[in-house]
Amino acid sequence: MIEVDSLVKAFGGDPPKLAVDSLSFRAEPGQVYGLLGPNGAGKTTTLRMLATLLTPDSGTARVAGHDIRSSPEAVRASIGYLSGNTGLYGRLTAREMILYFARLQGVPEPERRTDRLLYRFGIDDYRNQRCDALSTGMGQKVSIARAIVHDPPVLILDEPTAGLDVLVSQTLLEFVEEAKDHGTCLIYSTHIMSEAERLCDRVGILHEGRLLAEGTPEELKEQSAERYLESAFIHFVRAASR
Amino acid sequence: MRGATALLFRSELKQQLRGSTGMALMLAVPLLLAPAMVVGGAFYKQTIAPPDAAEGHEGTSRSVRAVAMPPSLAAALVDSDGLELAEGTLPTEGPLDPVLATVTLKDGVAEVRYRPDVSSSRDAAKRLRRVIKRYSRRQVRDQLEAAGLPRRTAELLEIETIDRATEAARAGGQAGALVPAVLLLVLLVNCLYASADLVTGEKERGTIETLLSTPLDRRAIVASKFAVVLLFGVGSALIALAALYVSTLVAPVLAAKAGLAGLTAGGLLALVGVSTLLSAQIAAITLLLAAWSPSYRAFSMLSMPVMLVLMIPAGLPALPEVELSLFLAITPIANACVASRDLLAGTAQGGAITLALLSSAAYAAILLGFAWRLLGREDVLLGSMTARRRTNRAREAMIVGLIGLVLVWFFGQLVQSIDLAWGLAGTQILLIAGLAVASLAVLHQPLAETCSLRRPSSTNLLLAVVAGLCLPMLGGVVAQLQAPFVAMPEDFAREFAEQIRGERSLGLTLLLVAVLPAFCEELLFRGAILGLTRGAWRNGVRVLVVALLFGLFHLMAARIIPTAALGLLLGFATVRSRSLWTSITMHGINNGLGVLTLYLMPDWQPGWLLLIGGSAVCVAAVAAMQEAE
Repeated sequence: MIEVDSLVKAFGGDPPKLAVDSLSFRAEPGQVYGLLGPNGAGKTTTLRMLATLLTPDSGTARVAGHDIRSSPEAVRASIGYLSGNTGLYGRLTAREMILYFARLQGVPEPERRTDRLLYRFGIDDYRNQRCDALSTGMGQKVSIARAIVHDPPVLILDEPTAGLDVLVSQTLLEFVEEAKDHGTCLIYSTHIMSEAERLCDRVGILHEGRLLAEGTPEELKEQSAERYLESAFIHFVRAASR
Repeated sequence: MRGATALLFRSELKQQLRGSTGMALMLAVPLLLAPAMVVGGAFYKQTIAPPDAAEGHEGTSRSVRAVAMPPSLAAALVDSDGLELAEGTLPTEGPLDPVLATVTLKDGVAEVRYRPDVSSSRDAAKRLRRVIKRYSRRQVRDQLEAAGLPRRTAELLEIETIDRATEAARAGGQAGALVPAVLLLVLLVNCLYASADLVTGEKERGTIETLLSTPLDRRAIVASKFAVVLLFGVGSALIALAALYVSTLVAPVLAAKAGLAGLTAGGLLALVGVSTLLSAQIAAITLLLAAWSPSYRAFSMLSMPVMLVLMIPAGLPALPEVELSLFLAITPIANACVASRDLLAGTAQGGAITLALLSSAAYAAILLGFAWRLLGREDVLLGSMTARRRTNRAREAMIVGLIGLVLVWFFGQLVQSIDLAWGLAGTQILLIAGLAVASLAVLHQPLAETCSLRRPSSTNLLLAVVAGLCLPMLGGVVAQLQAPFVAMPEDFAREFAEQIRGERSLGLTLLLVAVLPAFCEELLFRGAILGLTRGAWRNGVRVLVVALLFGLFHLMAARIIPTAALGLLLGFATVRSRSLWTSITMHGINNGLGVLTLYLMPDWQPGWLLLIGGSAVCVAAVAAMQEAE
């Protein structure tokens, strides 16, 4: 479902800074692939390239069968993208926000789909409330509904629980598990190890743009001879920094 | 794409209409500005405007003191409207009473004293002159009649000027002087706000990333945002025009006093087309600005100077001598302002107006194209989050440039006024090269590395010599092209060289005018300033900015563009060869050739063929330079 092949991205400057360096991995339908890494590791850049918001300098990736370089619009039609930076239009109501994106995505019967999602995420009572008046938790639920309004086969979630309280985070984690069971392929970036251990089938540890290690959480713990995923993560990053 | 653009447009328009600030600006600014213009204009004309404007109207009396006055002149002064003859002695020293003008008759000369800095005194003096002239003429006529001579003996022809302008045209012209300023202000305020909210705001709130993650074509996003900004601009302009018109209906007396009586529904309707094109230009500019700004803070810092610059053309319609010439018709924004005045006055020339409209449309399209390209760039769309890595040194480089300008303006000119030659040497060595070295030391930047002080390859050096030999031709072409608009003062170069030369030898002149500037100016501009911006901007932008700074640095309007053009070539030579020595070589040869020509062939003028051929060789030589590394 997602095949990443030697992706490279550098940002300007003299000399340019390599944000992602020859990154390759693969994720299947019904699987959650976790990208773990400290700040500045290249997680967001990788996910933005997969969402075709950024163009790679070299390498490519196929998302839901579409190449990110040659068919970016088809890729964007196949993904739901949610990150800490994907905001809501404050002057639209919760319903208008979801409906707007349903229409932009060309969803058939957009009103019905919108109403169903409002009900599904428990935000029906807030449907006519402007997004700038919603609580952080409610806003995040609207964001999730917006991201999946076209029922995409691939979900790209970039630190989706950042800044959320425990209860809202719980709702989001439950949604991820549900989507996984539904056969959706998920890329999930986080630096919260408990989330990764709970959700991810496979995990890639990124540091300074490079993939340091990859495997199931159990395999990573085994490779590093550590008891916890967090310790394994620290082990790999420290080894790379030496 | 059309469906997506329409969908985006509807949603973005809905959001803008729901924003209380945007709506308040669109409605309140034009609605409040119109009465403010009427009331303020009337107040200005009545109380502040110079007396010329009030001439012919019933004015307040002006006190006049007269001494040694023949009774008939005193009587003429007393009879004259608006003049009040006061008794007393004349103050010979010190300032006059503000409403006072004095007249003394001595040996057939009427000496009028007044205060030109005080409008009432100026007015009194003007009236005095008129009365005295009339009195003098009448005296001559009486004497001629007494001598039995015809009245025309002393004055063969009398000039009588008759104003043939219709009342409507005069009134339209007066209104036309004010209306473009109102339109421009209203447009700027609304387009700036809408662009900031729709582009910079979206970047700051993160909604642009949400939008970009959909299958939408980016062109649809740009088109819809432009359409909304344009609509807000046009909407506010229409409200402003309507408010002005209604103001002239509800307050005709005040409107007449403010010079807005000439506003007619027909004239205002004619402005709708111009307003739309003006809106398109402003909308594209503000969108560009918003796209460029990573945050509201940056946008507000940028928008103030841009707004001030864009408001400058609003003053042109108030100058009666400014006509919609070919040059003005193709000058962005200024063309629409002057065309608006001509349309209101009914003096618009079809050809000039058509050219103004076509060029306005072309500028709007070009600017929109730039905005399109800019918004297509991922670093611009996603702002600092994706970030092409910037260094703060660019800001410091600009500060160094500004410090250089200030130093040269205040101290450079001072020392040069004492002794031009040694002042120039001091300016170059201490203020220019010294500034380069000192600023890099303060910023802890290595001098040789920042200034690209590395040995050039022999090919690049040879190309620099060729380019340097042809560089004066490029300067000549640019100077010729700008001559119709900004002419170089005649004999400027020769007078300058003669001043430098004085009693000094050619060798010393070459040292002062060619060698020192080549080393010192290159060290500052292509060395320190260009070097500090490395990595912050694209090479083309760096070179352009430094070239403009270099042009300004020559402190003379006619030299800004030619020296900036030379600066462009010098900058590209440094960037392409990665060595400052290439631009030092070019600069030195260019200036040296200038001095030698003035010494050896002072009257030589190269022909167009040589100018264009030389410029082409110069550009080709710089283009052929290769990076040394």
